[in-house]
Amino acid sequence: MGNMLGLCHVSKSFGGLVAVDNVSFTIEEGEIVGLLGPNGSGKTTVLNMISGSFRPTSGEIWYKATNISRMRAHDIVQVGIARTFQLVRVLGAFTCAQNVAAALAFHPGGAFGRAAVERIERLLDTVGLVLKADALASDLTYIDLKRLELARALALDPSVLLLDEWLAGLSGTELDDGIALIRSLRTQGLTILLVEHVMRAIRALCDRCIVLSSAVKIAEGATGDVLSDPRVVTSYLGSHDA
Amino acid sequence: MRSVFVGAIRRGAPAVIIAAVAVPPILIDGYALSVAINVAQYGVMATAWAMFSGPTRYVSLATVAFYGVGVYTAALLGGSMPWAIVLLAAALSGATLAILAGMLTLRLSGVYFVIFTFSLSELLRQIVTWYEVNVHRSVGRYVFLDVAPAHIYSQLLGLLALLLALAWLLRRSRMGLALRIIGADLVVANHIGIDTAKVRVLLFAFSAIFMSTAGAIIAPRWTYVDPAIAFSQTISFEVLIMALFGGVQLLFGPLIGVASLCLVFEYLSIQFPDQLIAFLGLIYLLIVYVMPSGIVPACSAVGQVLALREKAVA
Amino acid sequence: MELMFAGLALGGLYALLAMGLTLQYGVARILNLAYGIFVIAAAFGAYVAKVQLGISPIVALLFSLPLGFGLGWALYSLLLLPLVRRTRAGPQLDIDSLLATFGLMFVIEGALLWIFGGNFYSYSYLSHPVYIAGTPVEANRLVVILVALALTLLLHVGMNRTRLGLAVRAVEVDPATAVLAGIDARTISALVFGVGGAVVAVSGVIISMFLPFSVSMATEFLMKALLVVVMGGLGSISGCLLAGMTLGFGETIVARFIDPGLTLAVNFGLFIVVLSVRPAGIFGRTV
Repeated sequence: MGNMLGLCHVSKSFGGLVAVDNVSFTIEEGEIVGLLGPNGSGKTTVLNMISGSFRPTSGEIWYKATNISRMRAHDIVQVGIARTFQLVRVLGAFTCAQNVAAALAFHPGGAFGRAAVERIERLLDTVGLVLKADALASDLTYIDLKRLELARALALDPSVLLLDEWLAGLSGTELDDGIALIRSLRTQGLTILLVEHVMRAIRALCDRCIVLSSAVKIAEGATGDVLSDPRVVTSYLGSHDA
Repeated sequence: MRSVFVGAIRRGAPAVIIAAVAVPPILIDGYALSVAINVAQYGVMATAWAMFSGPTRYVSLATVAFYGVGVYTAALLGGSMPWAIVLLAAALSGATLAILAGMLTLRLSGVYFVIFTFSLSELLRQIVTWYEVNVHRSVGRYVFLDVAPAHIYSQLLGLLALLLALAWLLRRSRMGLALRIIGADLVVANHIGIDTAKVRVLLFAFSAIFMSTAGAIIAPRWTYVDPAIAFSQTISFEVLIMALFGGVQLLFGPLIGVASLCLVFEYLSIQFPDQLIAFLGLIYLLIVYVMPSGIVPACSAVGQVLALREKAVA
Repeated sequence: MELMFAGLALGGLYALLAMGLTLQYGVARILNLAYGIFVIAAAFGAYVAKVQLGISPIVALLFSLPLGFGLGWALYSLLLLPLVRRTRAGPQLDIDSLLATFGLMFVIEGALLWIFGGNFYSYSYLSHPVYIAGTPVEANRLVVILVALALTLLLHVGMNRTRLGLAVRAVEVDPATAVLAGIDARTISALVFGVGGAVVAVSGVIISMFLPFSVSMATEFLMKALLVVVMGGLGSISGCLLAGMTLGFGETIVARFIDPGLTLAVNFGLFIVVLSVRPAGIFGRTV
């Protein structure tokens, strides 16, 4: 057990607007941690900084013993951090198999061409898309798009997975399947940070939660404690009906 | 039946074009040879242009900047150095310029990239003009290099063959995949581990090498060069439209565009020299409004419609 | 003193040129590359009016306003709107509108070359000197300065003090949200292209009054307008004035004290530096 990911006094401002203000936390190996907060509280900005979409204005981000605060997105992938996007982004003109192949091709643990075929099938199987391998991504349903995004993230062979509202929009059995899938990823040794609004999923999955409100961290701790923290309840009231 | 015909054109066209372009230079007379040289030269540049601008969707107007650099490298060094060294120097200058320009434009969005590349060509033209007037003391210079037109033609053909072979390999390589992903979604490309900046700059340099080399090869063809000829923006615009006319998605698309438009431009420049530019404009409009993916896909679309109609009649 | 008026006239002209372009690009998000050739076409229009029909350029100036507006409006509604619809204002719109306006530029350029040839044209109008504080200044330069200032003021007030201006600024900031406020981005874009067209026409007429012009100068004017737009920051009228004056004075000074042959090189060099260092504009706000 050791720290997989650590944020140390991280801030980000866009022009005059402070999106993330002096946030620190650590995530240990094998944990599933929820990053919560009302809309606009800075959750996605935190994910964007970890995954290298943009750099923190100040503070440091560490992956194991590597300072990744100044690294660019493609280098962070090589280090072992993969993400999904809040607004699903797949390559619409590519088939499902090609989308996964794309993610396998550009990191040292990956594969290209014939060597990749078997791994592509396995990854699509993991997320339940194996029957749609040759379907164009632009023809997929919303749920399948989310699956495809996850398969693509997994193809990057990450040890840390960042999920940005991956369960949003799922309900009933789909949600149960999704939760089971994420849980199975942890047993494979992945460390997961998820931004999520679906309370059922948070309670079912997260060991710990970190709560942001208006760019500031207002609570951190075991999921049950955090969700009953009066400050957290207040920050959610009126802004999000969870 | 007609759809079969269109399909045959689509498959057979590359072969026909290569055959037409590669007709042994000895067999053709002076005028035909000069047209063939023109086709080969534009063939190299349009294919190289499409190689970068096709997948990345960054429309470059720097074609003539690289071409002109090649022309001037040959004009300056041609008299004193072995030809192979001259070509190498041209390729290197083109690559260096492209890497510099590529690094400066990494943060620019599409429209600004176009303006930047246009300005780059114009800046080079102004600087070379200034240099020639103030240092060389004459705006033009004579290029006395004894290279036979047939020899120029075979060099251009060799360059074209090399370019097509490399472009074909690139399409099947990891780099080719990276390019298609970058063209589809830059953010995704970055987040699956592609160093998009590096890929873009490298590819820009790669296509520039061929443009500069083409410029150097063609230089002996003119006995006189001045910056207005070597850095004429029209060349960039023509290359762009030829590539788009043929279609940048296909390996041989640009070549098909070059073969058809070069002949049309040749005819017009003799018959209607004053209306040439207006015609160029009309082709631009034609491409945008009528066949945005180029003539080959447009033909096959027409073919499909015709086939459907025949079925309906039958 | 003389230098100052030369710089002011040139700067005013550049600012004016850029204003139409910055409005069109800032609001409609379409870069009109045919801009420069429209300017030249207007200059030829004024030339024909003065030399062949004997109409005073000042009268031509008044007529050019509605004519330019109509043409700009038509350009957007007939040529560009179909592209906006087809691409759903996505990234392909950039490339398509680029090719379309380039195409239009070549067609008009070809037509002008056919009619007028490639020579420089000029006519003499108000070229007698007026003495200001003892310095002789050509009267037409004063007209340029006054018209440029008047139009800047008019546009500035129009943008900042009227309801319509507010709508235009709303579209400029965020077309999608503007729709929620009941503003139709496409109508506003067409309107702004019209205003840009009017500015183009006025600029062209003004140029014909004090500079010799030829068809080949179209790209030069386009690039200068672009340079000023980029330096001034997209969509900013006051940025245009500041950047236009900087360029006008810079050019006058380089031409006078260094080497007139280098002015264009300096222009494009400056452009490349600005684009690579500060794409949001030197005087511009960051978006």
